[in-house]
Amino acid sequence: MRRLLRRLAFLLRRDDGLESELEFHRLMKQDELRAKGIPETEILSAAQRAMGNDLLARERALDVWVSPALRDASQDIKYGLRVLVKDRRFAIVAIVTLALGMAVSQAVFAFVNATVLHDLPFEDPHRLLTVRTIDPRGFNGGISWLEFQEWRRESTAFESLSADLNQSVSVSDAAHAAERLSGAFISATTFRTLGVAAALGRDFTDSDDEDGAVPVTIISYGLWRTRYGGDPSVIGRVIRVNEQPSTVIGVMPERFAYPLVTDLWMPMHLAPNLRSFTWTSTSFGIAGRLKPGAEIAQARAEVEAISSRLAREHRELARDRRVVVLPLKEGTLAPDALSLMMALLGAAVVVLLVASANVANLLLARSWRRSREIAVRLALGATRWRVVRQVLIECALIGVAGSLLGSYLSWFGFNAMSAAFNVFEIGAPDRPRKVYWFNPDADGAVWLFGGAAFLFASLAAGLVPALHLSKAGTNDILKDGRLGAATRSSRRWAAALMIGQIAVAVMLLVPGGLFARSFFGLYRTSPVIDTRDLVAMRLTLSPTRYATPEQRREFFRLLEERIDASGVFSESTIASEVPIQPLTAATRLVAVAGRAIEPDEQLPRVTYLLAGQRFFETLRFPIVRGRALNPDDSASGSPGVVINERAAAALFGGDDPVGRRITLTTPGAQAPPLVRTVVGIAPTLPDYLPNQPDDMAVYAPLPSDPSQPRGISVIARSTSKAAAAAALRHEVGTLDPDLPVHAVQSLDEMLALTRSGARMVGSWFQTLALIAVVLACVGLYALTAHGVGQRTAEIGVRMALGARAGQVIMLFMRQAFVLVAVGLALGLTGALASTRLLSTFLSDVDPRDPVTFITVAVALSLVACAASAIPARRAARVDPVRAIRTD
Amino acid sequence: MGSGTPDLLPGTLDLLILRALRGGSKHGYGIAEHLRAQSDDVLQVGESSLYPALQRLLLNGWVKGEWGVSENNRKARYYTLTTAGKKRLTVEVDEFDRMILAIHKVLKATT
Repeated sequence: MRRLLRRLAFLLRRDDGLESELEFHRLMKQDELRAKGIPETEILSAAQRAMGNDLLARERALDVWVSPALRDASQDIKYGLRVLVKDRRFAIVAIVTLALGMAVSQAVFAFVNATVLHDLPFEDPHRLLTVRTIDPRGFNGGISWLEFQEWRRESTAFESLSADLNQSVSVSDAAHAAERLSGAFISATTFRTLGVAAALGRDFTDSDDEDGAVPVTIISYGLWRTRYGGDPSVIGRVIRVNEQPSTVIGVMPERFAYPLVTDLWMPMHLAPNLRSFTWTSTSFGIAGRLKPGAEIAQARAEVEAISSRLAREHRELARDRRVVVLPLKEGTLAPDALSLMMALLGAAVVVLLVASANVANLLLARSWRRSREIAVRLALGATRWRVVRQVLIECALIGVAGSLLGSYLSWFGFNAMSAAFNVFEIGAPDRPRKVYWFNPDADGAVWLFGGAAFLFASLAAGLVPALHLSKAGTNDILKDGRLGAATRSSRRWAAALMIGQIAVAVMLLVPGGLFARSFFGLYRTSPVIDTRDLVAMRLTLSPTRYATPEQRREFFRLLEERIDASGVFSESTIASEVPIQPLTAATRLVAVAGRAIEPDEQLPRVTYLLAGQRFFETLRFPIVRGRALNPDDSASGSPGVVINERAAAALFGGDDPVGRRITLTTPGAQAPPLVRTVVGIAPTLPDYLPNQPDDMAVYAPLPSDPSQPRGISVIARSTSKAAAAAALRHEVGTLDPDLPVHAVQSLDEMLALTRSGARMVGSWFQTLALIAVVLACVGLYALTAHGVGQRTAEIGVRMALGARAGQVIMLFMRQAFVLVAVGLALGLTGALASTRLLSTFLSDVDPRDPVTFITVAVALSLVACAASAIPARRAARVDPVRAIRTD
Repeated sequence: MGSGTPDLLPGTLDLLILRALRGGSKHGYGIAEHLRAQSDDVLQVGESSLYPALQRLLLNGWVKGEWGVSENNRKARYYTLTTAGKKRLTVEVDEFDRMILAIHKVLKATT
């Protein structure tokens, strides 16, 4: 220990005194020699001779304090730094290349970690499962309340099984205005299933969920802070949820927001119309906790057995759906999201691989240029290891600098990715939020990944040049003045690397391009509706004040009258949904009236949109055949409807549908089908969402619908969202002062939002592709420059023999052409095979879209050739006389 | 120089330096001169062995070095035995005696 301290003290002292000590020794020696009568002129050299190698003495003395290996290493580092500073251009290119790779891989890893890899913030999350359904189109579905009860009764694998129903609710209280918030009706056991306790107050008890129990509510931390100012006395306060008084009994911890983004929770028995939910009302989410020691397979087997029995007993249960039991974590993600994330991570790691391979190539090219220096070092007795280590150390220096820069850049990348990763609730699209399982904290995994990436990149980059050096024979180097022996294998390696890089760039460019096309394609094809200056606002009627369809129909009639009479909007209409948000719209099963229907027949689904009086006028929605709806259509015995072209084609083929009758059945309902007369045909709207489930649409007059929706959208042309909302609030206030106007959004914003997921994923691919292209260009440039440098003498000879500049350029470009061609072929094949994965995220574009593939191929070829043309042109400017003399 | 110096047993140089310092502090040149004089010019210690050995002793804390002024007015580092160094010297001398005796026995053995 004392020795260590002394060693440290020695190292910290700047002057070890050895120099002056040896100088003193020399002077004493000189005195001694002088005393012996040696002539003054010879004293210096004689003393030097007598002293021997004082540098050696100094070195050995230093070795006592610092182990020689360590001292060599520090010397190598100093030397390496000097070399890198001297060869600044090389260093910058290498460091930036590596930094790009590090930045991308770390940012993507941190993001994947935050979204997918983190455990759920619940107790013992590995025992948590969810149950959901997948329909034949790959869409996620929920579970019905009746099914859930069967499972809870019969299954034995679960310690507890809870259901939740997400619904927007209106909240009001004495102190604050009514607000529409994201609510969830949950089984009383839900929080216990998850293992999360209330931060303040208490959890639901089983008696809270019994019929007739006093209505209670638990609110989120966020709502507590924003609406109630973080006042602890909120516990016990009575607020109004959907106009019903309800006592706040608890506040959940910060960030907790199960099932997705939730402001407040109510016991399930308070869910509106819970008793009337049928087997096909599959809006419920499930969370289950496995019994300790139970396997997921057991739960799966049980749930499947119960489900298939239920499917036999209840014919209306959709037979083509699949019931799946998943770990809760997986259940939170869209079916393709996990594989997409992994694909993204894979792509990022490949970019890192390409970056380090490029640095390896740059180092290789440089070690060749430095071969004479290395030969001299070897000849002077440097060991092979010492030379290899020198290369490795330079590489590690590049690695450290590249990693630091890369980590810095990755932080921006991660922030940009997180900022774009939002959930937009249907009830409140103007309020983007993070899902509860998004955990942006950098944890051990992120640091570990960063460290591993650094080690991997430095080793991968340094190993090849180092091996290359270690194989080269000293004699060969001295004879040729070059590292000749290994160049053939190194050239082959470099070529393979280049092909790989181009293939990777293509495989990233194609999805990037597909997303861009899908995105811009939407704007190109959308003008069916004139969305300019259209603002949509939502009203959701209280289930108690407007309990019957008649009450709701009357309200809608008054609302339309009121808005028209006020004249605040030049153009406006009401509708059950905004037509560009088809996923939220109601659906009906459709058939041509009078056609016999087989008992097992699966009827096609149509979007069933209820239109106000000036619906087509306000949206400037053209009618291609027949006429738009008019007020008389509601009145007649079989009210008129407008169908879209796709429905017309599917139902009537080539026949003229106008005047024909269709039947509309509510899925799972016992009610008899509605009979409607087709009066007009509207164009089909473009696919706003990828894999949109219902392309067929029926537009029916709002008053004609027997059940009358609870929610209604007011769509008005106005240049200001705020002004439109204020005007509507005023008009609505005269009809029902407790009715909040919410989800105020322009249609253009709505369009952008429906595309935000695809745009986000698309921008990831585009960024990765851009980086991959830059890297591939750096690689091609380095490779060609390397070739040019290596063959300078040959170029000189060729030019001396009369070769023209163009021929010299072609000499080097030919190699690039071959590499680009092979890389393109591989990359396009790979892209063709892998873009299928993206089909759920792409709309309006085929994953094998030839335009994208051809554009990518042409663009990449041009850029790649340009990258190799720069050094090739330099070769053509070589002065033959000087080139021949390079040796 | 150097060529006339017999190879010392490992560790012996350290012992000799400690012994040379028992009479009082000396600088490096002084130690070399002392060893040469005391050994009738047999032991001529080169700088490339002497100074590393001194550093070793410093590192082990057996000697300490202090800058001073030499007899002819030059700046020189004087080495002094520490208490630990003195103890070490006794141990090493005993050890060395035992070793020499052993070697002697082997060399003088009758068979």
